Amino acid sequence: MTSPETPVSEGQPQDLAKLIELAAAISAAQDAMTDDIVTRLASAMGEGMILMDRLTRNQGLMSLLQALNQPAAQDSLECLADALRSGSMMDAVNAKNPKTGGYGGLLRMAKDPDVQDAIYLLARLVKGMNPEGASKN
Amino acid sequence: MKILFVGGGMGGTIVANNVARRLAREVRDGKVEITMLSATDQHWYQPGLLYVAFGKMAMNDIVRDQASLLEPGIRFFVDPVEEFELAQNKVRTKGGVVHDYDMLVIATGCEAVYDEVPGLAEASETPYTREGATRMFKRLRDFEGGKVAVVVGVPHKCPIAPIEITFMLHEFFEKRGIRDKVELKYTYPIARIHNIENIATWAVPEFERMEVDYETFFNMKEVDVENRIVHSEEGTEKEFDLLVAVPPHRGMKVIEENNLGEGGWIPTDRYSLQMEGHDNVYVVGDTSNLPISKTGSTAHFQSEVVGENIASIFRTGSATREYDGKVYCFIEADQDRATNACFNYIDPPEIKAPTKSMHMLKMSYNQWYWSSARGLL
Repeated sequence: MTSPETPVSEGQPQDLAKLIELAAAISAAQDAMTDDIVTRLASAMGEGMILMDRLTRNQGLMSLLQALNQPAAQDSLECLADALRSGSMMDAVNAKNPKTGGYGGLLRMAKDPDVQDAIYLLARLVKGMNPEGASKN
Repeated sequence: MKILFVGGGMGGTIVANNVARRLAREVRDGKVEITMLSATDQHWYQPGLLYVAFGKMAMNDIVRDQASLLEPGIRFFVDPVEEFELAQNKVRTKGGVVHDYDMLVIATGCEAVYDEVPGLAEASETPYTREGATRMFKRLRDFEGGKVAVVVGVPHKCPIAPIEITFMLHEFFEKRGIRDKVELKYTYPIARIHNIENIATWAVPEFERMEVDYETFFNMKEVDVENRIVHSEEGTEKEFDLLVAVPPHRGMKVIEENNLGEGGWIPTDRYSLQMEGHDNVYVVGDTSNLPISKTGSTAHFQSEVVGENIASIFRTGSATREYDGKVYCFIEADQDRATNACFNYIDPPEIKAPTKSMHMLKMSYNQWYWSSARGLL
């Protein structure tokens, strides 16, 4: 069963009404805009464009974003965010290693397997930043 | 390849950034070296001075550190060039440093000169200099009525400025409620009120609507400061209580002193923008002797051609583009309406009715200029 075809011309008055409504909205927005508002918005847009331009043409930053986009890196970032949010990192350090200072305190901290893991992670990161070191891995 | 830019105004900055963007990898790899020599560490948005003169922008809104506008990799020195040795592909700076180059871009611009019209400097207000724009605003703010004359020297920066200044004077006095106490008189050196015919045709009814009196064939000869009368070469005169001048301009003295071009204007090929007789020297913006508008948009459109050609010459050995004479100007018609003029070597401008949207676009462009100088817009 087919419905009678609607003549194209029947839709036009509604479309025209929508266009008029849109034009009225634009006109109203224009009336509300002052030179100060336009200047502030344009300034924000201009500076935003410059920032985006600089960021997107920074090859180092783009490589970093690609690396951070990998699932493993995202997991690490989430862990970091959780740790920062809960304050658990400093709590853990403070609980295990009271601030006694001196070589003794340093040695006690170094015996902690978590601290060893962290030092190992940092060492790999630094090694990775050296192109020769990275290629040997 | 060493590319040297002399001049850090709109023209030099936008072309240098354009080239640096196109050859970013080569600059990083050390295959291309881009250097800019400028007389100052500041960059001024010169069209903004008109807004300063009418109290619509502050001076610190229209200035930035030049170094902050340049692409990474461009070596920037505040050390203006004093000697050009084009035969040896070298320049010597005021500081005594010699820079050699493979490609040279000269964008030294032009400046207002007053010595050709005795009395003009003492008697007139102008938005063409930083000191002048500030002083003009104070005069306009304190003006209580009388005869205001607009006088125009040639050549001058920004072709629309005489008409635009007159429109803005009308608007300013109207807002202050003293328009009925002001006799606004406009003068122009040729047979019509603007050298571009379509702009003149459009502006006449606008002047009549604003009750602006106008006189053509008025070339300034001298100004009688004491009696406040400006005399023309044609033998006519205009009395004034406030004289607003679009001063004549000349190219920078260093150009003339080095015999690169009479009046400071360098003979330039209108399509390739190369200096006549020197294939490895480009001339951009106000510095050229081309009979086209001396405006930022000219430098902007030229930069695309020069930027692409320099990159293309480096990569393939030959240029690829030609400049078609494109110019784009906004025209502020009154308090909240503006229009625009876009033209090139072949097509004259068609002026449309002023709108609020165009005014908003112009206000926006005053902020986007910095993106433009960076080669982004």
